[in-house]
Amino acid sequence: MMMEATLSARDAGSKPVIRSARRLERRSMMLWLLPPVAWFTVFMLLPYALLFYYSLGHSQDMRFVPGFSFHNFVRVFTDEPYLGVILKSARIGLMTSILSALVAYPLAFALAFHVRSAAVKFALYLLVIVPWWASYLVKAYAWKTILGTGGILNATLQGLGVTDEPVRLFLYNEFSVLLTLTYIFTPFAVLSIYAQLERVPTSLIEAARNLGAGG
Amino acid sequence: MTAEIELRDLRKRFDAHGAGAGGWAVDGVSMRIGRGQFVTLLGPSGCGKTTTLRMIAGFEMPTSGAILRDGQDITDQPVTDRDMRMVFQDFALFPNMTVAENVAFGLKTRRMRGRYSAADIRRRVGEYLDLVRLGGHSDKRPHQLSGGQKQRVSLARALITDPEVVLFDEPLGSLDAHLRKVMQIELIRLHRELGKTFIYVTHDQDEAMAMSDAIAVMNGGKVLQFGSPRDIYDRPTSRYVAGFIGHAHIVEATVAECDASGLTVTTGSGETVRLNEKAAVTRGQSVGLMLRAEDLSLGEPGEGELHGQVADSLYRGEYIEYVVELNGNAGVVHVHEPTHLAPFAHGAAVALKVNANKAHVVGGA
Repeated sequence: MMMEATLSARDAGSKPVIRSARRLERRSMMLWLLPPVAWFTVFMLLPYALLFYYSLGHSQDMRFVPGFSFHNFVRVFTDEPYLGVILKSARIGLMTSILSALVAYPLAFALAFHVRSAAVKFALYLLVIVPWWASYLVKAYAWKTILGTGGILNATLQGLGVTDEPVRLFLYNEFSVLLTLTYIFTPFAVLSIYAQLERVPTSLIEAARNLGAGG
Repeated sequence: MTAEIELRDLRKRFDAHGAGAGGWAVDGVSMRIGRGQFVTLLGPSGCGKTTTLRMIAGFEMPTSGAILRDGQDITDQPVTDRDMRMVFQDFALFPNMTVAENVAFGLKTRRMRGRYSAADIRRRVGEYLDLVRLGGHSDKRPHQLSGGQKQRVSLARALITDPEVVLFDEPLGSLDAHLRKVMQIELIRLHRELGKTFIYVTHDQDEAMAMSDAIAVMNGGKVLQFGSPRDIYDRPTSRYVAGFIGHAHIVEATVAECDASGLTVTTGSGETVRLNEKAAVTRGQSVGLMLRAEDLSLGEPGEGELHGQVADSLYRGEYIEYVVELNGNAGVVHVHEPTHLAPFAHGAAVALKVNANKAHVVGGA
């Protein structure tokens, strides 16, 4: 900025009108940038800086004592339960991503290449999007009513005589967490994969088929 | 001549929401294309030429009609089985592959498995890259190539599997004028060297004239005329073809006489022109007298069959182009005159001499 200002001041003699117009334009641009930059600073950078500041200190008698030590960081990566919880979250996240992608890809592929009718395409698209309108919590509870001991799944299994007692295996374990998370994030995967597949030019697919691929 | 590809009353209508909704994109195209011929489908955009080509390739299913190959009906045959390679206007090179991988694609498909060893493929890719003069570019990615180079890769990719028929969908459409000329010569050379059947789609009449053995002029989903470039240029059968190819001028006239050696027509302004053509017309029939710039020459009044006034003259370097307004509101014609002759002034009354061997009449209103 300083450099620019000096330059324009020196050139001011040669093209004063253009220079001042540019400066004005730059100033108005800065004005427009101010709100988002201020927002980002106050609500993102500042809290992170505070958090980082606290992370270097420690607590004593329930009070924060400032300091300069990486002890807290060492604890996170060595002590239970921190490490175990972090790894478990990462594993569930990874599994959810993989499962969502596996479920989403065929649908996105069909949507992009096989569904010809615009109406059918729209209907499928809507079916993918509608779950987004319900909150995360509601969707989690919906699965509870399906998987729980008094839920639809158990009622069906008992009704069919597959089991006498409600099966408790479905709920409160990693399986149900994965299932629910996969359900929640599959639409996201469908939309992002579909958006990419849609951009593949038809001529590339035609060229490949013309050269004897697929079919 | 046996027809390698035969189109029988081919028709195509797209769904209501598609392009050309409701109407016939292709409306009864019949054509016989001989082995080794270079045939061009020529017409303005929307005339059905690309749809016809795409039906031959198998990308579009005809609404009715049939496509035959060596007498066998292939209308329902899938694209992958047709053994016809297409060269696309946007090149359609696979961006995730190198030039060599793109070219080798057709040799590596499942149905080709086992037919070529890795060494065979490498040697063949090298040969075909040399054929299209792209040796040394094999490890580049498509985005590193110029438009002309991309089209050469696309050509090599199409030719490497040794197909009998190669289809071209406006392959030079996205290249600049100079490169287009270079590639035209290249395509003619490849056609001559390889002896394959080329079916070529373009809206550029110069391209069609320069390269083709035969041209099908299309409009409104129909083939208006199918013949050699010379036939189509010299003896168009309709006003549309006469106007579309080489910008001929049509002067309204009536047949005054016709006999074994030719015919005489009278224009609206009462002037008579003699033609050495044996046309299937009858006396009194109204026809269009087709006049091309190069078949006319200017003279002083009385030195030619038609008369008019010089409205404009344009110095073109190779020749002077005169714009002459014909007497009796018969329209304007352009005449090319050698530059060494004494120029005619603006507004001068002139006579037009018609080359009786080249003048031609087209029937119909």
